[in-house]
Amino acid sequence: MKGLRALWLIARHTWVEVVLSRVFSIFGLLAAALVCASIFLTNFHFGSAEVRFINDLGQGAISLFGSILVVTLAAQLFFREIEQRTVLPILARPVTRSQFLLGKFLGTLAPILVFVLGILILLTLLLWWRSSSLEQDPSVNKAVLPLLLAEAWTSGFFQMLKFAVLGSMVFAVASFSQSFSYTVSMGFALFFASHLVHLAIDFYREGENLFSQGLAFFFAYALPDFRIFNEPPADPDFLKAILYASTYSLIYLFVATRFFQRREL
Amino acid sequence: MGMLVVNYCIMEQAITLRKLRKVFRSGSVRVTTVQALEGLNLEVRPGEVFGLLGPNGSGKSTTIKICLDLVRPTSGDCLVFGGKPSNPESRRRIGYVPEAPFFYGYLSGEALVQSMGRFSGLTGADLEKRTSEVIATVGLNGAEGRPIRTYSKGMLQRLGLAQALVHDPDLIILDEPTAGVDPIGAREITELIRLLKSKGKTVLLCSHLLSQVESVCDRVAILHRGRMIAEGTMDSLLQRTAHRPSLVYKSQQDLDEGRRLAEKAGISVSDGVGYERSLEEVFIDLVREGAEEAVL
Repeated sequence: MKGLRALWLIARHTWVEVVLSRVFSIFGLLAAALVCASIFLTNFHFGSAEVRFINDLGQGAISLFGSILVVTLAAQLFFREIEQRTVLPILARPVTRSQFLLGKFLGTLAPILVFVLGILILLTLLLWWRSSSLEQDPSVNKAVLPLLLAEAWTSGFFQMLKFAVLGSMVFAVASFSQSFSYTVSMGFALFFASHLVHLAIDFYREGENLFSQGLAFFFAYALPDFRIFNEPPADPDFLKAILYASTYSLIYLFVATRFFQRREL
Repeated sequence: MGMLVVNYCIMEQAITLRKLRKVFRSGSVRVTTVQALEGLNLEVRPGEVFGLLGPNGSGKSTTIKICLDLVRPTSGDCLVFGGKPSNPESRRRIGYVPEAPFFYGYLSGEALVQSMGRFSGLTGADLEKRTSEVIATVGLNGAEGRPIRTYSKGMLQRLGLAQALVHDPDLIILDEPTAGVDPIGAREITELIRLLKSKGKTVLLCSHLLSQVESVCDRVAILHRGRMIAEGTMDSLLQRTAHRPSLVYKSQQDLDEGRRLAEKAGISVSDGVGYERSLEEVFIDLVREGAEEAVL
């Protein structure tokens, strides 16, 4: 109970820091602006129906800006505590390093959840408004809108799972890294590498010698496959996706706490 | 047949360091090592004010950080009230003021102290009471509602003390508590250390302000390059390092008279100095006089 209390306090401090940070406001507003601007960009819909275009753009905004926010905020908040030494009076108390790190992780993810929910609500309003004003469009009817909304919210949910895994990966790097810039660079490198995991899986299956197979096996399974979160099927298995994201998040957080335990402050 | 029963009362030391060694390693390709502590043995007794002195890089902060589990020793033992500092429960009895403390700027002083109290397990009315008490003790009354980012260096130092005292710890570790504080503030911190001592608290003081250490510490240890070069009570340390007995006179006239009398008695006098007030005393008097004139 005491442990949960410390975790909650650290998460709350982190939450306030994120909400007050310029990075969060700027990228949050940019994402919202992009979603709103989609109604003026419909000439570039490349043949898709207008509401589908708005939906795609909204999901793209969540994915792009959400990923940037997770990587930069997780690294920034971790290193700010270390560099400004605000971590010292906290860890000098009956607070464990695991509690501190998990609190930071949860405190970073909570505003990201708010960001995702905010953009989804904005997207829902836009889709509803645009589809009701396009009653004459044959590609838009009452049956399409609920389908699009379900797709948007499912995609948002899967994106949130991806952000949780990505956040845990950034904390794992930050726990042993000595600089903010290295952590951010590694965070984005891991983000891109996790989108290419399917190539490593193919390479592993088709590998000819033991070395290349071993290397491919490492990349295929040490990194999560972000395609699972980016391209949810029409009938997604939510439980399986949650289990997959939780497993990877817990492994990376375990690695992060092990490294952080040994870190000199 | 009578039986003699002897009760051995083993006093639990506030801090016990045995053969403490710390080597810092940096770099992954070209590894460089720095020996911060070399077999340090030290005991801080309950209820005493212990001064840890030494030049920069002598290992004072490393010693303090090992006591708080912020740094792990390479070898040797560190016990705080008989427990390992890696056990969070051992740290419950410690209050720590870091060197040049920095806190979340968006919080008010009061909110920070409350938050730190919560980390130490305080809740409800007890937390409220302790918060207002320590804020008054460190002299932050009236400023407790302001955001910390508006605080001066001296106020931050006082806030550092308040957050360290909020849970009424038995051991208070002060790392350079007077750094960046004006002489009046430094004197108030010295008074606060005396107050803590009178309440039976143990204080580990690490300071470059030697006059402060001299005036409040029961015992001191001097570190140099990770080794302890001297340890003992203030009197024993000062006597050990005193080369020649000396007399201090209040005026040049008294000094001349003293020299004349000594020479008449056949005592060889190599040198003599008149009593001079320290810069700290002059500064404090002038500032106080100025403040009194302003009131009048």
